[in-house]
Amino acid sequence: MMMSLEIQKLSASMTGILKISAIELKKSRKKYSKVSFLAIILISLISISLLYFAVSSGIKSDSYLYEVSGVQIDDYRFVTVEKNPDIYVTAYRNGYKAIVTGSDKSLAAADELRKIIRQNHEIELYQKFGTEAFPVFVKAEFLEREVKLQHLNNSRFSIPQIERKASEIQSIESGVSKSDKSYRNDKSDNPAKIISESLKGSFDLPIKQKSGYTTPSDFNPQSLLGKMFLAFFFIIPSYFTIQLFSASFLEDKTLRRLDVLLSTPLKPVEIYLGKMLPYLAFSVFLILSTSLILNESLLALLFILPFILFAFSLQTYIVLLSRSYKEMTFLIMVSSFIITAYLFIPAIFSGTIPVSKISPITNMLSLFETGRFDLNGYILSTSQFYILFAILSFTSLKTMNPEVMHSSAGIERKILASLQRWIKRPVDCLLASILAIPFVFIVEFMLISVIFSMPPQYSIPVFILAISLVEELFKTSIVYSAYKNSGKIILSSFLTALGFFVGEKILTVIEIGRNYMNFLLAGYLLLPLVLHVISLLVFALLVERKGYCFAFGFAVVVHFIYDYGILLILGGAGL
Amino acid sequence: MKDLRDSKDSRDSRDLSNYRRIIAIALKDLRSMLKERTFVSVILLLVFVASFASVLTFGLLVLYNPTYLNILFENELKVGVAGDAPVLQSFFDGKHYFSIEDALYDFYSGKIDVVLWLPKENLTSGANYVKVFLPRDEVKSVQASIVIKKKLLEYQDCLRKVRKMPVGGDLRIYTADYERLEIPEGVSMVFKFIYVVLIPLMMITTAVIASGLFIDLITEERETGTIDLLIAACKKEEIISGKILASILLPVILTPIWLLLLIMNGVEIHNFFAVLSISYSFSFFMISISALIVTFFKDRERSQLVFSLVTVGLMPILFIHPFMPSPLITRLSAGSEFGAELTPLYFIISLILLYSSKKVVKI
Repeated sequence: MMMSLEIQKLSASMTGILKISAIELKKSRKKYSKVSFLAIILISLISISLLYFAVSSGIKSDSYLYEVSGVQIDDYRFVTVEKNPDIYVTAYRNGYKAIVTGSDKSLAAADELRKIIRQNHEIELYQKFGTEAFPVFVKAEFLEREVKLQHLNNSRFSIPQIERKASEIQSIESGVSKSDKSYRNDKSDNPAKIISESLKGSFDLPIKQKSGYTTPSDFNPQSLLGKMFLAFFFIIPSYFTIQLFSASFLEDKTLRRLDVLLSTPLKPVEIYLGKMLPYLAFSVFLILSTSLILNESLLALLFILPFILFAFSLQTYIVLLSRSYKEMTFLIMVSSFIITAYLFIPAIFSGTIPVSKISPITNMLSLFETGRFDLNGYILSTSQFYILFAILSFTSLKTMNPEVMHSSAGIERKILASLQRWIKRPVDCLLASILAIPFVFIVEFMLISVIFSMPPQYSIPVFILAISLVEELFKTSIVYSAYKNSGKIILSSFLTALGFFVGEKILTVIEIGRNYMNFLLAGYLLLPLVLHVISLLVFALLVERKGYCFAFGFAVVVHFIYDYGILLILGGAGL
Repeated sequence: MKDLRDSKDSRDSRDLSNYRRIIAIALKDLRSMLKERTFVSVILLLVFVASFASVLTFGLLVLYNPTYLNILFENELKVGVAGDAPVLQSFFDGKHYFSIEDALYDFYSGKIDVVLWLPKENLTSGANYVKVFLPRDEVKSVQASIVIKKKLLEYQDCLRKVRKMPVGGDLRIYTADYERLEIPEGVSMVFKFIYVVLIPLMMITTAVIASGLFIDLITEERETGTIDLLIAACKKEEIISGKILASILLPVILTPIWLLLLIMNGVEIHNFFAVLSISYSFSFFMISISALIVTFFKDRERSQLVFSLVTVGLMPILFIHPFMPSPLITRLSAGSEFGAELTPLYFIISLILLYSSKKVVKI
C-alpha cells in the first residue's frame, strides 16, 4: 500500500517535470523561429569553419616579434632591421655567434634562435647522412610503484611493500621477456618516419606524446596535455546549452513567470528539474556526438556529466541571487572561469603528481589513452561534482522564493538569506559544515594555484591569510544563519566547528585529501578542532555586539595567527 | 541675421541637452554597476584570467624546462643502466645491471628512480633503441625525463662524432661587452607568455566584457519594459548613445588599469599609447558587433548565445595574421615597431563602426 502510494507520488512528480519541460520547449520554439534558428545554425557553421581555418593555418601571434641584424634569419618570428636590433648575429665555423642587448626580449630571441639553428643542423645532417645521422631512439614506459608518504616531501618505500612486490616482479620479469620480443618488434618502427616527424614538429609546443620511439630531442615527460584539446571539445558545446538554460531561467524570474509557476501545485523541485531537463538532454546529446565525431569512448559522458550538472546548479543559484542581467552575466563569467580552471588545472600535471587525478579530465584522457576505466579514479574525481550539484540544487530550491529572489539586497545578504532558509537549528550546522568542505576545497585549491605563482616570500603569509578568510567565511555564514533562526549561537558555533573538523577528517581518508590536509596543517590530531572552536567562539562573542563584519574580521585574524604560529613552530622544530 | 543667430543658439542648446541626456543615461548604468559591484567581478575576472594563464605557463615550464626554474635535481636522481652499453653507461653515474630483471627489482625497491635499457650498443653504424622505465605519477618522473633527455642528446652527439659527422648547430651568446653568456632553456617561453598570451588575452577579455555589457544594457531595458519610460524622456538615438557610452567607458577605464598592474609587476610595456589604442579599437569593434547582434536577435538569450558563438569563431582568427590586433599588440607592447602604422587606422575604423552601430541599433 505504502509502496503504491510512493509510486503514485513519483509518477505525479515525473508528470510535473515533463509538463514543465514541454512548456520550456514550447517557449523555445516560439523564440527560435525558423529564420532565427537558421541564422544561429549559419553563424555556428561559420564560427566552426573560422576555427578550423585558424587552426589549420597555424597560430602566428609572435610574427616579426624579434628584431635582428647581421645574418638574415629565415623564420616568421624574426624581422631584419638596421637600427637597434634585439640581437646581432654572425656566422662562424661551427655555428653562429649572437650579441644580445640583455633585455628579456633579446634573451628570448637568442633562445628561439638557438632552437632554429639546432633544427637546421639536424635537417642538414639528415639530408647528408640519412637515418645514420640519428643513432639514438628512445621510448618511455611508465610503471606504477607504491610510495608511502610520511611527510610532505619525504617519500619512502615500505619493507612489506617490497616483499609484496617480489612476487609481482616475477611476473614483470616474464613480462619483460615478452617485451624483449616487442623490443625487437619495436625496432621495426621506421626510423625515417620517426625522424621526419621529429624534424617537422620541432617548433610545436612540446605537448605531443608519441606512443612509439622518438628522437632524444622529442623525448618529453609523460603528459596528457596533447589530448587536453579534446577535453575542450567535450565541455565547450555544453557551455552554450547551460548559457541558454540560465538565460531562460533569468527571463522567467525577471518576468515573474517563475512566481506564477511556484503558486501552482507543482513543487519547486519539479519546476527546477523540468526546466533543466531539455537543456541537460541536449548537453548529453552533444557530448555523445562529440565522442562519435572524435572517435573516442562514449564513456566520456560519465566523466563530463557530473561537471555539467554542477555547472547547471551553480548557474541556477546565480540566477536566483542576481538582481539584474549585468550582475548575472558577470557573476556567471567569473564563476564559469573559476570552475573551468579548477577542472583543467590539475589535468595539466597529469602523470606527474597524484593531485592531477582529482580532475575528471585527467581520468577521461587516461581512459582515451589506455582504454582502461579506473573505477577508483572515477569515484574520486566525480563524487565532488555530484555532491556540489546536490547541495547547490537544494539551496537553490530553498531560494526559489519571491521574498529572496526578488530582494534588492546585495549578493552577500542574499546568500545568507538563502542559507537561512535551510540552516535553522544548531544541529543543521553540523551537516552544513560537513557539506561545505567540497566548496572550501575548490576555493582553496584555486587559491593555491593563483598564489603559488607569487614570489615565495609573500606566497606563504598571503596563502595563510586567504585560507583563513575562506574557511571563516564558510563557517561564520553557517553559524550566523543558525543564530538568526534559533538564537543559539554558542551551540551553533561548537557544532559548526565539529562538522568542519569531521569534514576535514573525511577528506584525509583519500590520499590526495591527505596530502592536501598536510599542506594545510590540518592533519595534526585534534589541533584543527581547537582552532575551529576558538575562531568560532570569538565570532560568537562579537557578532551580537559588533555585527557580522567585525566578528568575521576578528575570527580571520585569530585563524591567521593560529596557522602562522603553528607553521613557525613546525618550521622551528624542523618538521 | 538675428534670426540666424537665434536658430544657431537654439541648435547649440538643443545639442547640449542631447549630450546631457546621453551622459545621464550612461551614468545611470554605471551607477547601477557600481551598486551591484560589477566592477569588482570584472577586476576579479581579469585577475583570474591572468593567474590561470600564469599557472598554465608555470606548469609547462615545470614539465618541459625545469632548468629555467632551477629545479633540476640531477644529483638526487638515481639512474640504472641495463644491458651491454658501455658508452651509454658512461654518461650516467648510476649503477650498471647486466639484466633488466635486476634493474627492475631495484626500481621497485626504490633504490633507483629510473632504468635505461639498451641490450646491445651499436657504435659505428645502425640505430640504438633505448627503452626508459620511469615511475608513474611521481614528480621524479618529470625530473628523470629532463635529465635523460639532456644525457641522450649528449650521447647522440658523441655517436655522431664516432661516426665522423660534422659538428654544428651551435649558438654562442655574448653580451654587448663581448662576454660569454649562458642563458637557460625556456627564457623565450616566459617572455612569450607575457607578450603573446597574456596581453592579447587581457585585451580580448576586456572587449568581451564590454560587448556582453552592451547586450545586457539594451536587452534588460527592453525585456523589463523600462525602455518605454526612457523613450518618454529621451530620443531613441540618445538612449543608444548613452548605452554605447556606458559600454565604452568600461574598457576605457579597465585597459589602463590592467596595463598599469602589469607594469607594477615588472612587465615592460613599450608604446603605451599605441597599445592602449589597439585595445580600445578592439573593444569598440566588438561593441559594434554586439550592437549588430542585439538589433537582429532582440532578446538577451539569443543575443548572448550568438555573441558567444561569434566570439568563439572570431578569437582564433585574431592570431593568424601578423597584422591582426593580437600579433600587433604583442609586438607593440614588446617594443617591435613592425606594423605600428596600422594603429591609427584601426582606431579610426573602430570609431566609424561604433558611430554606425548607433544608427543600426533599434530598440
